[in-house]
Amino acid sequence: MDFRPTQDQRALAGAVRDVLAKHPAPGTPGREAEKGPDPGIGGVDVALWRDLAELGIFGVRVAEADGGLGLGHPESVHVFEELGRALATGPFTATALAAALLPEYAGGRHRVGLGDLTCGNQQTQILEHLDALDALLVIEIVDGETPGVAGHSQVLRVEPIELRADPVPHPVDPRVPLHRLRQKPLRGEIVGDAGTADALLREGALLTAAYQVGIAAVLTERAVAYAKQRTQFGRAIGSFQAVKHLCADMFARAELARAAVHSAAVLLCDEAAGHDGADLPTAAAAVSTAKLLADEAAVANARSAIQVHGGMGCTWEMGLHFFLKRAWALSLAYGRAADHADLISESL
Amino acid sequence: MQLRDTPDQLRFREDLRAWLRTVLPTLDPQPSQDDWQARRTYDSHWQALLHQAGYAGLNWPAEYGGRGATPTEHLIFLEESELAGAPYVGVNFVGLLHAGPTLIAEAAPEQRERHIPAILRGDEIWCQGFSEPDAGSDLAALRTRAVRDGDHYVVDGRKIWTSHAEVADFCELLVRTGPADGPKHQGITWLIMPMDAPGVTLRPLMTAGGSTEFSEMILEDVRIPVANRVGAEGDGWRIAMVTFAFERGTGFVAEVVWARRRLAEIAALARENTAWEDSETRRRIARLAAEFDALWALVKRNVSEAEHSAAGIPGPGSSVFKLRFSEARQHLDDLHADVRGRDALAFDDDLCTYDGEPGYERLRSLAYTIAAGTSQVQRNIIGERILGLPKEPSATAPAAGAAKGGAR
Repeated sequence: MDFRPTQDQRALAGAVRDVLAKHPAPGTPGREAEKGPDPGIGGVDVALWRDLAELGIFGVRVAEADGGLGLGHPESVHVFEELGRALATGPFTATALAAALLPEYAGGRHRVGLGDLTCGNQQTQILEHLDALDALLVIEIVDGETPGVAGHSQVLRVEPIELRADPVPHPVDPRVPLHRLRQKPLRGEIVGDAGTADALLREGALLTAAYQVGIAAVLTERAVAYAKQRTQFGRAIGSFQAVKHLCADMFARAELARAAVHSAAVLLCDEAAGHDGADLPTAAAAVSTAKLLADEAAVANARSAIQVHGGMGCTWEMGLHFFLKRAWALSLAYGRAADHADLISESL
Repeated sequence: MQLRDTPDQLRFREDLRAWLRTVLPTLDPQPSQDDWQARRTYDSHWQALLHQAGYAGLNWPAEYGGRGATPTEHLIFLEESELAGAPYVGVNFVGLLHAGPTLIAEAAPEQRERHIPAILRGDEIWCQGFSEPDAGSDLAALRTRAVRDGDHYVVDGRKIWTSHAEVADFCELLVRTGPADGPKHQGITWLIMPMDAPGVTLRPLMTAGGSTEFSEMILEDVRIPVANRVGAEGDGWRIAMVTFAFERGTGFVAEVVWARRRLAEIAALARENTAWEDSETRRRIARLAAEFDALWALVKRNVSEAEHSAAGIPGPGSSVFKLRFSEARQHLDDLHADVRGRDALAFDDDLCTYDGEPGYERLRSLAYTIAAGTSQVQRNIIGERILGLPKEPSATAPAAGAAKGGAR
């Protein structure tokens, strides 16, 4: 056992971090006061997307022969934690999932979205970044079957241009444009069965959890930096236990969630190969654990970061709200807390 | 980044499993929690068996009779022992987790030779005389005095929360040898106190769960030879700190394994008694399962880091583990009570105190967020030592000085 990130994993994360630093997102250091228009069509910073694609982040799990990096989930989660730290905006998760399914997407030349029509009883499905998409994967229930029952879903590839969808005029997260889907059933090419659908949702939950860990971790750093610098009553507010303990809890949440994400990444890789008989959870339960804890950590740390920043924390220009809004949205993607709790309870 | 055993680790695990399968059926039933002599006999017998099999002092250096095992092997030992239902370290806790490691690190050769092998064999039981009625979280405020009289120290004071004092042979004792009004972290000295020395009186304290595990220890003119001093006079604070990292790093590891199994039992009970049909209860169970699985992953991260660090000591990250585990452990016992419903109003037996009895565990877990550094102290440690936040100005420093950043 050596559960530490390897040199190569840290180097990959470092390379991604360097690229992201050149394209700071609104609300992150370097672009605090930004309130301009969206950086590109469909809310995607095209220059950032291109540079990250060049680094190979979409094909992390794609075989080298197919143009990918030939690595595994542990490397993917390192990349996605960096995306979360920088609050990178775009259909990163869905495109990485699509590449693992269809290697033609490994290079990141196309942007792929994902719509999950299997969850909840929502009348309409909300899609992100639709105007930026070259393809859309849709997970849907085959007609006549009960929604939510594994084994009856399938994956379709749909042309975004053929979709009838209405733009949402006021999305809460201004950086993620939304559309409401008006049409069902959809026409498209079947690219995967129920097993594929499950695998996509599971990996999507893992990558989203990693992104949330990035949010939770970077906000801990920002709150701590502010608590050291801001003085009240003649001393740094971080010296007061009331503030210090908020920061300590933020750190604990991020660390625990990261351990869960890394564990899930390793177990998902090992699943096919089998374990050594040690007392380990199943990969499915581990991914749900990771998503549950990472969602909590991101949302709670965003709230705490705002609290530590006091009144300024609530302002647009401080930018912390962008993190909170993203954390909220992602806790509804690839399974909500209740869905993952139900999944875990099935394994007990 | 991987979680698999290496071939060596796998062999270690399998040998250990085989040994546990052979030896556990030979043990007598566990004695009652309040029969201290019987507990000493039981725990010492188990320690002797471990010693014969080469598992005593697993992570201690081989030159002191330990096995020199790696942190990962130590983790495997704790995991497999718990899974097999092996006895806990019991009354050997202080000797193996505190006093022994401290003696190895700081004691004179003759002190080591006198005590280390006896601790490993289970022949010598230790207790801890650190906390005092007026020195808990602020341990450095301790006031038990030791005055030099020829080749002895004469000790007067009170100690509290002394586990297993009734059956202990020796006590790791922190005393004040410096002036009472001097700098509080200086002037503390670490002594080996024989428990049969005249002037040692014990007053058992009964916990909310009905256990008499702790005592108050009253020391009146207790004469301790100067030869029993470990390290230099006045260096006791630093010496005491050596062992705390160990306690927080591994002291609770086996309990995560226990908690994960207990949760599976709670789930089974809930399925049986219809509590499972309530989705809120079901999700609380699941949320706690997530917490313990994540804590288990965090343990592995900490152990991997300890294994590859120069010191081999768990880092301050163990405070994160201690903080989250102790709170989760209390949630676990509350959840168990909720699933049991009104059955939780009664203890399972007349003695009402045995390991695993849910009502007893629920009351016992009250101490989890207090012992070995309260949750509030853990948050200070995380805030100050990991995140680098400034210390709270101390009560003795003038506020104006603190404002100028001059407080110490």
